[in-house]
Amino acid sequence: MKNFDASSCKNCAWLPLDNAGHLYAGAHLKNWSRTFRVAAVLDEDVKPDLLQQALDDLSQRAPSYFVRLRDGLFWSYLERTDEHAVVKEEDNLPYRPIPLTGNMQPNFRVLYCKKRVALEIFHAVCDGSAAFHFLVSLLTRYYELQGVTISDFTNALSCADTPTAEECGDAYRKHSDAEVPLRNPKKPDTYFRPEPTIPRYANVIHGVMRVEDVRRAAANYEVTVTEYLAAVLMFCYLNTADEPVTSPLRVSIPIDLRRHFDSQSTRNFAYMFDVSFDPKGRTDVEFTEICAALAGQVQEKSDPAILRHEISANVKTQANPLLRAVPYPIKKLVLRQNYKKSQLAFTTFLSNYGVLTAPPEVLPHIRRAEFVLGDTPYQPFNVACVSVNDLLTLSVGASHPDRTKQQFIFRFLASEGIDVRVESNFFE
Amino acid sequence: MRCNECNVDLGESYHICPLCGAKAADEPAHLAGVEEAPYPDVTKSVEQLWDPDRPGKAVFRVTAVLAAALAVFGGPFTCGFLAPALLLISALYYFFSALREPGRLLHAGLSSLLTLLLSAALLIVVLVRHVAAWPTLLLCVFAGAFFAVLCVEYPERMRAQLAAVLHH
Repeated sequence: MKNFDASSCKNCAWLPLDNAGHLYAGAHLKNWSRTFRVAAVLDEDVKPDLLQQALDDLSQRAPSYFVRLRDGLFWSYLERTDEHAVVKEEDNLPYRPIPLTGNMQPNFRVLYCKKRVALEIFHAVCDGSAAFHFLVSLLTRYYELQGVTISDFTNALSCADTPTAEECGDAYRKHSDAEVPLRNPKKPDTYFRPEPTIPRYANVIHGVMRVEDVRRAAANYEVTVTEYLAAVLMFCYLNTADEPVTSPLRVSIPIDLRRHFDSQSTRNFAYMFDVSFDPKGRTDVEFTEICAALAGQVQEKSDPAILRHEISANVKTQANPLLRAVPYPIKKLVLRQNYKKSQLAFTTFLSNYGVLTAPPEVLPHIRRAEFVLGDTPYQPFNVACVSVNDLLTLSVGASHPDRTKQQFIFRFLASEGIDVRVESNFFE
Repeated sequence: MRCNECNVDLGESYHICPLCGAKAADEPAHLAGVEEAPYPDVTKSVEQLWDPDRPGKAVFRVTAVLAAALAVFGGPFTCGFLAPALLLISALYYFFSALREPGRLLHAGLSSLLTLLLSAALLIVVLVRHVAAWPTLLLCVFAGAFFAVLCVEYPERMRAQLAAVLHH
């Protein structure tokens, strides 16, 4: 047992949290932790014993996932755990908050239900990209145990390799620039209406579509798929609001920084930015207007220089010597307030993972993938999508039974000429 | 199956549309070749979301109430002895639970160290001429020995856990 060692993290006993992890760790409440879900639907029923074996095999290769949150004197940290029996048959609602105390289990669970394998994980451990990477690696090992020979491990972790410091380290710190001045963030004017929520209630509706259909629809408005889906969300909010929307609609979109910086991180390495549209109280806003306003916003805000500046400012704040000396219980109060503020600064959230890649021998077994962001106490409605094998799954999660928005979104997509197949965790 | 109100395909086993509640129509799907991936029926399951409080928390609460009551009714000397005694009890509790959960070894170490420091301070400042000094002295010696044993027996684990807790 060693403490964190930059040269190898295979046997380290604990890991310091990364920049984003601190926020999620500080924000958790007694009955809620920021939990999200990634899943894959396979071509045959899951064999649970093999899945557990695959997970056991992966524990040495991907140690940064087999951790649980612990509080320290100045910061919380992730402690390695040897308890791996977390493969369970799904028997409850999706993305239930991961319990952070009272057991030795890592801060994730692997659930199976017929052909679906789902990974539900606490956000302080990793982001969506790293979670999908872990899920694909798990499935790769699962098929290896069934005798499939994997020819290319580019998109998955091989159990024959050893973990690297690059994978387990804090990518924010590595790619930040110490010279960046601190920011003075101002709360932007945002349309936000609190929605009633039912604790621990999760209503997920998946809309499965052909990727080509969505790309074609987006191309009709000369926007990217992410901008198109953000525009659909904004149009939905405009049309389902009780009164004219006078403040700008802001949709928060996470960007995977691995695609912009050379990083193999298996932890958090994403940055949230927002795209916005101000309807100025008008009730006759056309969808084309929103698309025109959003066109190019994603590209503009994902400029590597801007991203480096933003992550550097966050890292610099965390590295402040005065802040570091403050005991963690006090920091936690501040982190919780900051998290709440960050949640209320957006109208809603949209995450587009993009195309899920896997080794060529595994990919044909994955019928489709699912990505559900999970709710927060402040944002009960969330949208995420992922595509694999030419099928895009748009998942809308809500912690209340009202389906007005979901109905608008999928009816609108169908009216755009996209064939949509709807499935839900509540159905008759 | 399809919902003609929403103009979307539905799973083969769907009788009503999850979006609008309309009755599903038995028509061929527009999006061919997509299999249904059902979720479990959760209406029968009992929600056990969070584990009940650990016994350690209950023990802590009971002893805190007990200590407060003794401080009020027993006076400062009784309380002065009680504080390190409780710390030592918690150190032993953490030590035995660390056999199951290695992360608690540090708690045992810190509790015994605190016992050592607190009982030593009490001996010097307040209780040196009081009858409670003898058991406090005993606590002090026992805590010191316990802490030393932990450091000698589990040096790497103690060092790693100490580094984790104190990292800033």
